[in-house]
Amino acid sequence: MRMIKEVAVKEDGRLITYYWFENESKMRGAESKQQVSHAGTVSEQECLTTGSVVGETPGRTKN
Amino acid sequence: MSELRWHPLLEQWVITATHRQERTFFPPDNYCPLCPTCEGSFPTEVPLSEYELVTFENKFPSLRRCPPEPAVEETDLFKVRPAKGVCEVVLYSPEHTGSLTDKSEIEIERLIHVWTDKYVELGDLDFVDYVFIFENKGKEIGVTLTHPHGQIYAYPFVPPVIATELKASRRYKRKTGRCLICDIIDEELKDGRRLVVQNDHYVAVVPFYARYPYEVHILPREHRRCLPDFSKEEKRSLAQILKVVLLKYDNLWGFSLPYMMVLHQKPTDGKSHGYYHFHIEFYPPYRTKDKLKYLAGSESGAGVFINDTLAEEKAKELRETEPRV
Repeated sequence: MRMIKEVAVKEDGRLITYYWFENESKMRGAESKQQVSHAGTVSEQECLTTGSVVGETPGRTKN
Repeated sequence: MSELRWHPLLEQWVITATHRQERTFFPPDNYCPLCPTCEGSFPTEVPLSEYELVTFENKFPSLRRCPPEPAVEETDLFKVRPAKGVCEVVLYSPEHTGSLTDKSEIEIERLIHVWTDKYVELGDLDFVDYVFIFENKGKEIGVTLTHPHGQIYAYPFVPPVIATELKASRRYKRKTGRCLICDIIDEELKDGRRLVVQNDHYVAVVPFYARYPYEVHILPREHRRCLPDFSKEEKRSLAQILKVVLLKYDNLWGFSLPYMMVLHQKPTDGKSHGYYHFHIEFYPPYRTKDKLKYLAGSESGAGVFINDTLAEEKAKELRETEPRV
């Protein structure tokens, strides 16, 4: 299973993350991207993975 | 106002979060802040008109990425720190009613993928040492919004219950060369009386040392430290056994059983913690169909749980409860 992850910033600065799953909702996710991108000021650019495809086991560690 | 205050007797942090007194309390069904924002209607926490799974930073967080300075100055004895961390809400569905039990196995599997992603994302933050994923379900647990949701707390420290489990697991490993929970699973399977359900990858038991009457632990048969260690098949299998346990709970007395569900994973403090074994714990607050178990004097004041039931008998009840939809 692959998922599409979209991170946006709400008007009050809080982060919101949408997860869409490829088989059933990829199109819906893509269509909504424009709305998401207007959801506020991007204050933590490095956190944003808007529209990126996230693997099943990201496997990143602090080390 | 929020801050961490050190409890010098218990040697653990207490979070003060006075702004949480103002949080939304049982709003009307047609004014739910966790539903999608409908055109022409009031703005909810989710600006889109539809969604599948969503996480967002809590409006009334106990911990924040950029916390205010503490309201008081610390002394040598009374230490205080900014409440730095992250508190997120996980929305299981755009549907206002129902619960995790009503979700299909595939929907629960997707939630497990979201849990995995958030564990890695939040655990990667340099100020986060522990990512705690949990769900409080039911007004008996103190839930103030009925829309199906869970939560994630990203703490700047390893919480005390996890620290105790880590210490016990590490000590057992040094003493025997084996994993504590791997051995617990072997012993539970050998005995069999406390088994609730099992599949190829997991066993669910009312553990020998259950503190709540209907406490259930879901334990992976293979040694896994955290969700990113699981294969795709193991995540699917976890969704399957979660669904069965949830259905058994709801069919036990014919109503949607409240519970606390907590995921115990290795810390994200940069260390391997190879001796630690992932598991999920459920604590339902009911001891009978119409009686609650309270955390009273012994539990709260001495840290000693009194379970009025036998784990073997409660496991038999749950084992014999059909997981019908």
